[in-house]
Amino acid sequence: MIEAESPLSQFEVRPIHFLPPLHLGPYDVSFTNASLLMLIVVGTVLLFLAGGARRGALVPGRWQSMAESTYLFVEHMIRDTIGDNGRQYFPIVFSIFLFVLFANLFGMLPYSFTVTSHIIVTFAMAIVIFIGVTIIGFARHGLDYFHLFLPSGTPWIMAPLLFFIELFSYLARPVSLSIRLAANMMAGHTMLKVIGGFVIALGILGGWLPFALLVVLNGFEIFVALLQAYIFTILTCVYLNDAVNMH
Amino acid sequence: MTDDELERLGRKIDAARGRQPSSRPKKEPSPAGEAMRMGTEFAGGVLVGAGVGYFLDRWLDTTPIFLMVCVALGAVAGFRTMMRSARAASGEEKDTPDKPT
Repeated sequence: MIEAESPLSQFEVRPIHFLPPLHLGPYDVSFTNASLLMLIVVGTVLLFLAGGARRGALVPGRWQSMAESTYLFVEHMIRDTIGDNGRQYFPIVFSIFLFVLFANLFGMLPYSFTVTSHIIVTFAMAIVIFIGVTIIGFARHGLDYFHLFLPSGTPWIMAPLLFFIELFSYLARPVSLSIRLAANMMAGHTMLKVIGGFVIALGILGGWLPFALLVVLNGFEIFVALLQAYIFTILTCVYLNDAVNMH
Repeated sequence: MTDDELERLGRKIDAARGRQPSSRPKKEPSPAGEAMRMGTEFAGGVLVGAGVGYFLDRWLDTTPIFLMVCVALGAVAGFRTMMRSARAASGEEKDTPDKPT
């Protein structure tokens, strides 16, 4: 390696060079490395679940056990946060969890691409959740859903101010949800690349110290990948709970 | 697998369960994750306030009144969300008797 690459170049979205570029009106819709990774993620999730469900044995084997415990993990999460009313939202929550989890973990493979480090990917998911939750809230409670913005027992003189504050905190949900996931993934992966650069720069004599750190950080990053998938999903459940049960 | 075998397996599982100290441990969110969560909650509030204010100003041609008001409101909103999740995080550990609302 002669020329050091920027630690941020791993986040670059590039079209796959042997495929023809695609244009839709003024937009460049070429098939990129991000699209490829997302397809791989979805394919792996399908494979993981289909493989787990293939035998349907009463006493599960290893693979089936993995798929079943993932299922149960999300099911428990929904039951703990939303209650029995949340069962019907299981498919979307489970899909989101698996997509984020596998996308995060695929990002840990060398030479791959972390789709969840891009805010547009996480924001797209967050805005779907946000709009869905808002529709569910109004469908279930009608205009009563506005009580979420105006807690009961508010002095009337404070009401307009509090309404706007609560409205902003409601609108901030998709923003903080998406920033959190993308920022975590991006920060961690940039750090890995920077430390990795130290290993090369210090060479065979001094490179061992950052190398040891790199090993530890890799483990930590896998933990972050799991944790952030969990946080993204649990917050989806919390938001759904607000819409379904309205405390 | 016959019923008889299943029965025996069930008893074996029960016996193994009985030996275990307790059911599955409760998941504890890590402090770093909590801190990161609160940080982005505040940032999200401010960002949304700034965004809404900016577009209101552009629409009504009132720069910079709405931007100023909305950033302040957004910051307050972010702070409220942050306080709420902090209270939720600590409320699980100990019960606060004199909780408002």
